[in-house]
Amino acid sequence: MGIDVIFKIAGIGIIAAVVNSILDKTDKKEISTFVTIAALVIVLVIVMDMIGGLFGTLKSIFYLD
Amino acid sequence: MSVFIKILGIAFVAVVSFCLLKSTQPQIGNLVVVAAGTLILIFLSDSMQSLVTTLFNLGNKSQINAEVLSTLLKIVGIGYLTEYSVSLCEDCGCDSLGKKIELGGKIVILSTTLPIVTNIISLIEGLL
Repeated sequence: MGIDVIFKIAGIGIIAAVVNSILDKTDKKEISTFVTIAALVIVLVIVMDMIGGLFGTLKSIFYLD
Repeated sequence: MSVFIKILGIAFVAVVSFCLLKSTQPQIGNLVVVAAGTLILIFLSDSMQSLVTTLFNLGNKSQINAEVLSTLLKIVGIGYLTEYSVSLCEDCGCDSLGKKIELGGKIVILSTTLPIVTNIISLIEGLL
């Protein structure tokens, strides 16, 4: 849980961009939308997991519940 | 001090990757900024933990009753969470949602302070 998460997300974005441009060149438009959606879902899972961890620690720090 | 340098590094990397992804994948760029904000708050949480525990010990030592202190702490936590989610909504471009979250936070804070205000007023009635 360090800065590698940011690099992982940026890497997924770059890979998705490259795959999309390749797929656009070989005019397979529908597959490129799937690639975008898949990349977005993966990144969302990672970010949601981090936000959940953050809310858990904040709840424990401020005795919120 | 080292935590601060780490936070600046994370913020800088997030800005660079956001500019990188802005043209081709704007949604993932937004999510990189959100992840960086979350990561910064996670790094700050342990120094915040020590801050809160020392404040709590000071409060207990000076015979302030624990119920007021825990309410105060809860209000600070709610304010912290509200500010985090409002800035997250503004990052992703929906400011109106942020305003609604702010309103919700204020209402929740008011509702947590209600019992203290009522027993203060009853105290004053007793004095008069």
